[in-house]
This record gives sequence, C-alpha cells and structure tokens, in this order.
Amino acid sequence: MRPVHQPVEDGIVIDLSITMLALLFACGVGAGLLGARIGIGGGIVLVPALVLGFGLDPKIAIATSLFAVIATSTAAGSVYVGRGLTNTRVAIALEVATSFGGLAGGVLAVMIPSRALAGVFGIVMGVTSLLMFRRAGGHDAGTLEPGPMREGYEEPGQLAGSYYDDRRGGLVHYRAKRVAAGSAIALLAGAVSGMLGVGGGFLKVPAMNVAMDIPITVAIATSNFMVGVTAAASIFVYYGRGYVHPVLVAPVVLGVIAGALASSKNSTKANPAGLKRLLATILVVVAIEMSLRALGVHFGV
Amino acid sequence: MSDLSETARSHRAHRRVQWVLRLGLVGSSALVLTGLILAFATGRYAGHAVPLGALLSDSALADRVIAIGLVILALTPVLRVVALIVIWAVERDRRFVVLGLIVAAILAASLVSGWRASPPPPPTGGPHVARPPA
Repeated sequence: MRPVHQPVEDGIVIDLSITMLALLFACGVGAGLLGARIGIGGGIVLVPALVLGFGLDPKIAIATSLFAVIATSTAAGSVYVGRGLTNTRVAIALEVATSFGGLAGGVLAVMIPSRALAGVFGIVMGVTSLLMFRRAGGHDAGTLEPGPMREGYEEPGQLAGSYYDDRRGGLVHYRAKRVAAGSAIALLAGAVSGMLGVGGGFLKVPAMNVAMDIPITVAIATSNFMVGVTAAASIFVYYGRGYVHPVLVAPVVLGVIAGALASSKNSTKANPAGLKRLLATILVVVAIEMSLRALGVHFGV
Repeated sequence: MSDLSETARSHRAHRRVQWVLRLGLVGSSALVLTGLILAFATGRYAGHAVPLGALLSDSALADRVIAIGLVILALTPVLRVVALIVIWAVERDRRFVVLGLIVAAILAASLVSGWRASPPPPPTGGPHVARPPA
C-alpha cells in the first residue's frame, strides 16, 4: 500500500485525500462489523491494521482504535439495549474486576518481567480458546421458554435475566454461575488491556460464556457495553497527551458506526457456534502473538 | 405477580439508557462528519496528532468541530454508567449502586489524570512516539 504519511520530527503529516478517507472509512466499517458481531471492541484487529497498513505510530493507532471501540460500543449498544440483550448489572459487576485488573496489570508489569507475563497470558488465552472451540458445538446456555417475540429483562439485585432468541424461538432465562471464576478472567482481561492497549473484549466474552454460563448473545452484548467503558477510561489519557489526530480518527469513527449498526441489527439470528469459533480463532492469534512476545519477538503493537 | 412490574421496570431502564446512547451517537457523528467536510472544503486542519487542550484553544475550525464530536463520543459510556447508577438508586438496588459508583470513580480518576497530563510523559518503551509541536 502507498505510504499515506511522512513521519516528521514533531509528529505525523497526513495528506487528506479521497482515497485515504475511503481506506480509513473501510477499515472502520470492518472493525465495526466484527467488533459488534462478537462483542469485542475491534482494537485487536484495528491497531495492527493502522500500524502495519497505514504506517501509523502505535500510540496514535491505539488512540484512534480507542475511539473506534467507544463508537462500536455506543452504536451496537443502542441496538442491543433496546432489545434487552445487554445485562447491565453483569457488565458493571465485571467492570469492577476489569478496572482493578487494569491497575494490577500496571503494578505487575513493573514487578514481573514483561516476557514472563506475556508467556502467562499466552498460555491462559490458548487454554481459553480451546475451551471456546470445545464449547462451539455444545449446548446453548440458559433455559428456553418458547413463545412469541418479547423483550428480555434483567432481574434486579442479581446477575440474572432473560433475552429473546430469534433462532431458538423463545425467551431464554439465564443466571450467572461461577461468578468468582468469571471475575478472575475479567481481572485478567483488564491486565491484558493495560499491556496491549486494547479493550480485552476477546477475554470478556469467554469469561461470561465459558466460565459463567451466560448465553453467548447476552455475553456479546454485555461485553460490548464493557469495552466502551474500559476504552473511555483510557482515551482521556491519550487525548490529553496529544495522540489524537482529528482528520484521521473522523473517517474511522464514521465507518465503525456504520459497520456496528449494520451487524448489531440481526445479532440474535446469528449461529452461536460460528460466533464462538470466530472468537476462538481471534484468541488463538492473540495467544500466538503473546507467546512470540514471551520469546522476544514483537509485531510493532 | 411482582415479576411483571420488575420486567416493566427493566424495560423502562433499557429505554432510558438507549436514549443516552442515541443522543451521544447522533450528536458525535453529526459533529465528526461536519468537521470532516469542513476540513475537506477549507483545506485547513492539523496535519498531525494534537492534545485536546490545543485543539480546543487554537486550531482550525474543522479540528475543533471534530474534537467536540469526539469528546461527546468519549463521554457517552461515562454518561451511560451515570444513568445506570441513577436508575438503580431509584429502584433501590443498593448492591449495584455501589458497584456502579466504584466504576464511576475509576472513570473519573482517569478523566482527571488525562486532563492534567498536558506534556507527553516519557514513553514506557516501544518505538518512536510522535509528539505535538511545542
């Protein structure tokens, strides 16, 4: 791809052309489609795309990607919430663990050599992806109450609720199990976010689906909410320090909104096994990246 | 059955959160799009990454409009958490009000620290870091 910028001493100069806008917009659409579909922010694909494809500085790529994550979360969230797919109580409960994970990640990163840490994360993600793959063909979580289309709801004071599943044709009632195990993975997701500069949604969905037995559709919508909050917590740090490039972020954000809105509309019709395999594949890629990092190989991010 | 009113309350909460998200989404995307069109029409925009303070005080109109749109976008998840805390407080769901407040406190801390950090700190490692012009 033609280099779209020339690095200069004090920053990066962008040549604003229609081609460049179209490419950035397309990148955004891709990240929004994928992110909303499997409940990740999309940073895990967008950051490498911006660094390797557009030759951006990693910090600027991360700041751009954080806006993309918030845009995915907000656009898809406006659809998911309206249909009762998001469990906001589960989201907030796990977000506490994730936030502390972020803090712990910072402390750990100072105390433990980052290569050892990367190795541990690589192993954990490898195991998680295996569990996801094994689950892909397994049972659907929750109990089905067949009936016409109804809006799902949350149970107050508890980590439980229901949602309408188009594919199964009824209201599915679920209750979070193994909350401690789920919180532990959410904690890890927070620590990984700090290390990679991404939202960690690729670990939040398995935390809910594999550990807590929450249906994948609800796990995706709930993770979608969480990644927005995690990204909002980081963005002001990047914004304040000057890593935000307005005309570069703008087309990406607009693309993400279009992509996320399009893919969130028909989320309950998607095949859960396919979603789990897609997510597990992404986990494998990150696990390999982490393992290589443990061995001393870096990919710019 | 009390279950019915709980369901209705949950739906009402969903509607309210949805309004927050829609307002944030429409407001921010309209501003970002306007700013981008302005940048293209006038040809005046920052050619490099800039801190928020610089964007809002002295920069091209296009950059300012985009910056305001991005700030609205970034504040939307924060507002969503605040809206949930208020909704749960009204429902007297105390456990989740407390959890929500913890998340809000962490968000507030990062917001404040981001606002204060105007000079770029030394990078913690990795390749060259782009700096805004002095």
